[in-house]
Amino acid sequence: MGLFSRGPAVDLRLGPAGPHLPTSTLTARVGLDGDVRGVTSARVELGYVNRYPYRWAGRRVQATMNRDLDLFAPDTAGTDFGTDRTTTDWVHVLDAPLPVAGGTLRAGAHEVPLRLPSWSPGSSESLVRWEVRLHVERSGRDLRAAEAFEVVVPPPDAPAGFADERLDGTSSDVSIALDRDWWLPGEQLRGRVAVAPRVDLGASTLTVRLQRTVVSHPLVRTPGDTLIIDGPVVTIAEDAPLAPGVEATVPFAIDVPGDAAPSTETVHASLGWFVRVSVEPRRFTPGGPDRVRRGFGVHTAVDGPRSA
Amino acid sequence: MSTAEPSRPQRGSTAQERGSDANEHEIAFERASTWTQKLKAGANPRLVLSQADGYPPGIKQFLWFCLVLVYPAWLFVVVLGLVLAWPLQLLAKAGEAVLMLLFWPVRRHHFKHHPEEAAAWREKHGKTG
Repeated sequence: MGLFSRGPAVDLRLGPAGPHLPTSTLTARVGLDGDVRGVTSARVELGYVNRYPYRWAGRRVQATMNRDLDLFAPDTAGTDFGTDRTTTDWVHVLDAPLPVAGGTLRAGAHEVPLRLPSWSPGSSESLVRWEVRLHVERSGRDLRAAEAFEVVVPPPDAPAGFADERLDGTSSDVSIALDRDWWLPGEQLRGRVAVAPRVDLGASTLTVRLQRTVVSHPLVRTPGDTLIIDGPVVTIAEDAPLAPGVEATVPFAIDVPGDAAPSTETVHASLGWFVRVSVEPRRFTPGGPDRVRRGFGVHTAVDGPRSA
Repeated sequence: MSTAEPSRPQRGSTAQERGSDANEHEIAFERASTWTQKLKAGANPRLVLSQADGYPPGIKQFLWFCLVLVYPAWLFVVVLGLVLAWPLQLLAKAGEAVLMLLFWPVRRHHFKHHPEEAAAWREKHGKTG
């Protein structure tokens, strides 16, 4: 091999064509057009690029001391100044060695089966990009290649334990029921809102919107704020008379975006979906407008091996 | 079919799970119970410099430089804050009490005609009135 030779060309291909389900096996085919000599280790690695928000500098002292609600707090120290950024980290899942004999990786095609774990998080633009990476370490420039693929996830078997969560207001008891807990991107999510006013609310407007949250929980870096992305507002009832003692039930339907990311928990961040209902009386009420949300799941595979 | 698979990588913890990352100087300031202790902890130059913790090298040294420059002003604010904080708070409370007294007939009239609002108000503030 000459001083300026580029070394053998590497070709990394994955099969069969995706998307892949958790527990399915894909084959990484490493093609080499010449022997690679002086190899110390050769492996194919499976893992995902985890994208997540974090606080790049500064600390969070006040918010975690529960003093963030005090406007005037001369007896507290510390700062919450700092800004959030988004970064990516590689999450290693498994390694498969390539056959190296006497420091030589032979020319030709090497096929390695890689089984996706049952807990594999689903691919999404905002959080997870699955990749197979080739690492050949040798004397001289290492050989590296990477190939991305897509993982789709079915809904889990176990009940997810989604529950109503009150965000604001004390004027009425609001409960949200969904036809089912797990939905596919592009589907129309259907459910019902039951409002039992505690006081006379009069004519009120009921609105529904979808909410996507990304909770930051990095292994090493400082966690960032939870990202909350609200979808468009859908009005399901306008000027509905709400009186105490009478429970009003309003059905609703709202579109899950076609490119919705699946609900998932990764190493550095978690993605969740919510339906957020607002009851807004036309006149002033001391309890304020009520805002309640309920979680639901987005899955990207219709069926298949269920994750635990 | 049971297949050995790699265990799920451990996830990190959220800000709530980690708790406060206040440093020792801030904790000392929080725990100081008397005015003199507060004044001492607040005037500690290390507390001022620790405000640049968590910033990357370079930026941190620049922030230190800035914090050293503003230290005299910091001292002034600490003294002013501690001397005026409680009188100001008392003044605000007194102002609130005066307004409550002043508007008592209005509140009485309104709550008489809207008992549900009175109940909601009592529930919210945990008191009668």
